[in-house]
Amino acid sequence: MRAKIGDWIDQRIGHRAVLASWRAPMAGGASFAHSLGFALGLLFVVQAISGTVLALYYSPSTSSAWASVAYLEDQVTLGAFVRSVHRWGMSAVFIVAGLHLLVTAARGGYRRPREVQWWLAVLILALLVGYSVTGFVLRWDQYGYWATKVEFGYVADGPGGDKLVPLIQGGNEFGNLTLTRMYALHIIVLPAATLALGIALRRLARRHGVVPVVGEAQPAWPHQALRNWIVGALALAGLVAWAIHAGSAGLEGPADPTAAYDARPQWYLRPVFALVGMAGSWRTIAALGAPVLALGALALLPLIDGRADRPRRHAIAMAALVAGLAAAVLLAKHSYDQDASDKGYAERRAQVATQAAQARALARTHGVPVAGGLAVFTTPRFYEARRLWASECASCHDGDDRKAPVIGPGYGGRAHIRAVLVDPSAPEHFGKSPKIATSENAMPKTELPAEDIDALTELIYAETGAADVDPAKVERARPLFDEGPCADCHARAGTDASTGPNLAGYGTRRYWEAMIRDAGDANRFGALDDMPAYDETLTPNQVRALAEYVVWLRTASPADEKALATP
Amino acid sequence: MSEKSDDGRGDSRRRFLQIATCAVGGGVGAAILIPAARLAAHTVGATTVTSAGAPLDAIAVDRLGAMPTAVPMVAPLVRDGWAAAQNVTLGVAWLRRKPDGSISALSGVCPHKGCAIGFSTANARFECPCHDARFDLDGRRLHGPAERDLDPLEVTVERGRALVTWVRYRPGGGDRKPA
Repeated sequence: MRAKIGDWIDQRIGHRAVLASWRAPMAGGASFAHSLGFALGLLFVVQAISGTVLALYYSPSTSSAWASVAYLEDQVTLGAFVRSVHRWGMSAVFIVAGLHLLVTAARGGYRRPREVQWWLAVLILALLVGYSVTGFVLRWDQYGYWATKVEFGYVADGPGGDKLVPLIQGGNEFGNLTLTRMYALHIIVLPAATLALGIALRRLARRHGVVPVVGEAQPAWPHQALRNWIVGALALAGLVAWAIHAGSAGLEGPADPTAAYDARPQWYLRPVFALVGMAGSWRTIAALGAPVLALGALALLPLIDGRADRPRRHAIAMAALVAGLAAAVLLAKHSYDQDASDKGYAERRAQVATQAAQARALARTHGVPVAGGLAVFTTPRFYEARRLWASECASCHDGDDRKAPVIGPGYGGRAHIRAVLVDPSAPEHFGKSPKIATSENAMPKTELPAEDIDALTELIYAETGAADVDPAKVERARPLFDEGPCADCHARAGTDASTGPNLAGYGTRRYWEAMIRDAGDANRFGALDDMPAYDETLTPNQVRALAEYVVWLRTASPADEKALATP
Repeated sequence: MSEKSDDGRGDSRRRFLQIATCAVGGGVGAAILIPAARLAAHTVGATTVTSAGAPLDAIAVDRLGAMPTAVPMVAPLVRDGWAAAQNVTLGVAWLRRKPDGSISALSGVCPHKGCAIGFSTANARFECPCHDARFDLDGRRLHGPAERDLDPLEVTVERGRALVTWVRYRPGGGDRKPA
């Protein structure tokens, strides 16, 4: 029965021939030297799978890219881990691809008739750089934004750069179309190209077989397969261990076009970065030429060292390869050392880290406004009010040069009202306001017994609408206010015109809104007003935000105020 | 089959069929690829990101000193592809009061590769963190890879406020061309 089913399937798909080919003896037998290509393929599969699940969350636009990555990183189950695997997976691919090329070169694997295989492999190596460039910009964080900006700058200087840059960056400047384009390249075009090259490479590898190691012929299954999976599993284990050790793919603060940022490439492009730094006026040629030259030299290897019977040529080629690699390592090291010895660099990096932590904490707690990643910094409580406070209010209401009462924590609370009653012309109250301080109509000190001042305080405090008012005190204060000198200047209901501020609704949002809009109104300071009117310079929403902030200050402690974010 | 018997005619017929197949295949390929390529190339020469070129309100003039101040250039409206966004920070302009009292504005975009430059108060010069280009207070090159001085921006003063016309110049090269 089993045989019959097997026959039925084999007549249709021919699988037995494939299985038989696995059991055909391999020249030279199985070897770990043949396993790196398999490990590379496995890493590509990991990239494809991790990339696919990341794509379920990623959103390519200037307003949502950073936000969606921050969400992935900080809120999605295993998001940080999968990002870490995907990011460092790219590095693993570079390492294994480099090793594979080195081993192949050392064994003369590019020689006749395998030249085309070698060239395809070099092309894949070039594609890897494409993955890196198109991948890092997708985060739209400081790192991805600036590194890519510089990379495109070099492309612009190259041949045809005028046309090439708008083509790859999607227009005249970085924007939404840059992200959609980079994303399409990263997840469709490059993988399709890699897959096509990989399939071609695989078919050629089967056609020409491996460069035999010295040994007895063995079937690929299971001898080579076992070695392949051992190397593949080791590569994967190394990647996962590193991804966990690194903890994250990293995500800096949202892209900020105003920030002086130390743009640096990934480690595999560091040698080029270092070379550019040394190349003086040849830097553009170095930046564009060095990678082309390196890949070109690799591609030329089969032409220089094309026959196995010339060991001297092979030795020279290998020496050149190792020397080139060593030069790259030294260049990269030089560049890393330079940054490590730069104190300013370390400080700026520390600032970047602080800013990133802030932005991500805000994104977690408040979400990111649709305006874009940078808008996350405007989400802390009273952010807009504090920004306006700093630009419009603080110069007069705060600090030693002020020209108006101090407004801060406790403003409009019992202690503050009482203090104003007792000594309105104290420097922290109206003592520094030019008109009020010099006017004959300025409010005199309230010289009454302590209980009466207490009661009057409560009466005014009651206007704020606070919940903890003592009605007995208010009751006691009414005649004091209405019959005493207070009422000569202050109304405390309706819109009765008064010389001093009408205290109806004192300390409420509406009260402060009216004050901010126009403190010279007959119901506020009238002729004694020193403060500019803001009804035309601020929007109603801004006035409201400021008024809400002042109301909040009434019950706020200095520590509460300190805990607010400073714009 | 029968072509073997009448060589000449069979060959030319086969040749014709080969050419016809290639022509049809090529035509289909072109019909697919040409529109695709043109769609992809739409962005070449297109202005995908625009902000109105009107002068932007920057800062109160009395807050400017002899040392440059970084002022974010906030465009009231930016069109970016399909999106219209309000109050978008385009970059930074460095404003200062020159010894003769006039106000000067320099673009904070490094003319080398487009990084945002910083200002070192200790050395009284502009420094780019990317490739170490340095410029003096007036934006003249002192050191490093830039091929031209910092790009000056047009600045006017109205009712005590400095208004700056923001232009993003193309990085690289000795001549100043808007991006």
